[in-house]
Amino acid sequence: MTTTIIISSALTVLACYAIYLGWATQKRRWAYAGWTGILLSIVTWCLALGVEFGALIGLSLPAIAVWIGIARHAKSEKVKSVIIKPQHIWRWQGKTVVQQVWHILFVLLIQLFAFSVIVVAAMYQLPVSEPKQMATGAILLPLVWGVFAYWYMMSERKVWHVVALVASAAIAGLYLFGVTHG
Amino acid sequence: MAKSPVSQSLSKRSLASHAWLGLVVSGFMYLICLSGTIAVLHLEFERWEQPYVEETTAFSIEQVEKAYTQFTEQYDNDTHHYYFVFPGSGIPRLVMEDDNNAHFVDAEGNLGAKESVTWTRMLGDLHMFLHLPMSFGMIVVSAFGALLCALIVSGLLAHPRIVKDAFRFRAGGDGLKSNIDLHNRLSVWGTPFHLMIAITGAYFGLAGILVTIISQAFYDGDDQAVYDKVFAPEPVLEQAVVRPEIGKAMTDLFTRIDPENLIFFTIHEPDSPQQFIEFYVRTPAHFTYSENYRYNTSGEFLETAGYLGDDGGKQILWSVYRLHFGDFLGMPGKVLFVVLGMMLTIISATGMNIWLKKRKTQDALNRLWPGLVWGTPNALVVSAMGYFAFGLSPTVCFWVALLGITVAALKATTQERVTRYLKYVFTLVTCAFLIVYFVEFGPAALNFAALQINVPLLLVAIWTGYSARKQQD
Repeated sequence: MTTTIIISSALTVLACYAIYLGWATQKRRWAYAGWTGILLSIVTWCLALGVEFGALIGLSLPAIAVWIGIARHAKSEKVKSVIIKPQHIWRWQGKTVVQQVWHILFVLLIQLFAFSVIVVAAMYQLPVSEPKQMATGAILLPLVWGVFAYWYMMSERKVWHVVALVASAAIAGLYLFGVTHG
Repeated sequence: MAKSPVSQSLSKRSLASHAWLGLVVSGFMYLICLSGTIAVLHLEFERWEQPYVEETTAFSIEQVEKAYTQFTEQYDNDTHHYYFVFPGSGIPRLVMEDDNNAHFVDAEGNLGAKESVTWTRMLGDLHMFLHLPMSFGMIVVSAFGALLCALIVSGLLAHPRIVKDAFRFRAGGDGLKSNIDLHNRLSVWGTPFHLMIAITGAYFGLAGILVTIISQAFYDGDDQAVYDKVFAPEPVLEQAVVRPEIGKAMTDLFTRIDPENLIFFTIHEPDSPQQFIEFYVRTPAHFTYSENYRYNTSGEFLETAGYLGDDGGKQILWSVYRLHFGDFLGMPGKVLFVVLGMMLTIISATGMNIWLKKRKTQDALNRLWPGLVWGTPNALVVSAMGYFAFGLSPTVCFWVALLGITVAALKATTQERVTRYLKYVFTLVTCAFLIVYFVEFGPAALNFAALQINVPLLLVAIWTGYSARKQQD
């Protein structure tokens, strides 16, 4: 096992360095070799530690290994003289405050409860065992909620998000608390 | 290299969304990430709180039975559970406990000092529910897990030069570029780890909400019925109320498992017909917290809980703890999680730094933010010092110190000065704390249990002081 761990570590580091070389020299073959190396290293990590630990280590370790390339390419800029910025003058803007509080409530509270209901209703349609339905729901809920929180904040037509979410949650709620209860 | 597929318009709107979400979570996310990174070492901190306790990886069945007898004689049976913790838990100590008291057990099976993990619990509680009321706090922290998912997605889409800048790092300058580069490089390359942490972190609080909805929809509001679907329900037993045959059960268990993997056992509902013994056993090469072996009062094997069975759903849900806290592979796994967790903490800090530096104006926020960032490690050390030196509540000490430091930061004239002063303070406070620790524990402060925390802490304090000095130069 120790030998496989050493080989896997070396492969991760070399693969990340190859990706760096591909980036620094603009040569695709280095980049392809690097990404292939990353995939291979995940396989060797799985061989060394089992699929569960190996996949996690193989996917996480590049976050550290790439710093060899980043450090190699790092540039230091001269410290500029500190520019004193003017003081921010706070003015009470009631409309903006209300808007921001609404966004926070919508993202943190309304989306939480709405997506919880939607995800449970959706997961219970899956043709798998109940524990698998629950596990899928537990994994998907933060992802779905997160993606829609981002989309809502990015959108220029926020009102449609609110309408669509309330409608979807109502349908999901009707199914959960209406249909299933006869 | 390929151009980014992300359009300018999408990236601009994504950046606005990313900034808004980042501002909403900013300080809370930083507190959660920093405390979580430190809490990866919670087992080591438990040992560090009582460095004088005898350590061993060996134990015998006789030792366990003797400790159980002493414990049940010493304390009345006002408990629903008895526990015995083995070195397989990750702490090379033996602990006998019930719902209210816990004692270490010596080599002869006698009860020793009472277990005390007050500071470590404060750290864990800060990470899990920010010291808010527990259920509410866990939902709040879980919500930040979901928003971390949002930040990861929006961060990637807000980055039109994701490929072009993959290895770029510009240090120095006015700090804006270095903060941007550090934030982006750490975020992009750490995406798989950050997503895993966000999803597993969100699970702890959101699971309760999902269970409530499922129980209301399908089980007439019976939450336990939902838990029984995932976590093996307790066996229904009718048996004479006698002392549980722990020795007989352990003898049988050791024919089924490697004793090194035994984490702890629980005696459920003692002195009742439903009494049974449940052994929690580590499952090498799996994230699953344990496979559980159940025995009746007579020490006869009943069943396993089936967490490693054919239903992947149970296994996934029972794996979340080890996945989130890096409690696998021993110390190498923990070191990896500390490094990656610290990267996420730096991302939280630099995100706000970028926003502050991009503003055309400045105000108290410019000093409050570094006050919070560098005040938090200071407050953690102060809380440990207050607890060890005077027996003060670490939770109260932490928040009073953090509030004091953050308010004091307003006195400084610039953001850079706040950072520099607080780095110096951290070095001094840590040195003072280490003196307190040595005075408190004497020769025990040189035990491995103490040194494995104190040596890295001292090194961090020295680096912080050096960094402040360099900043001054």
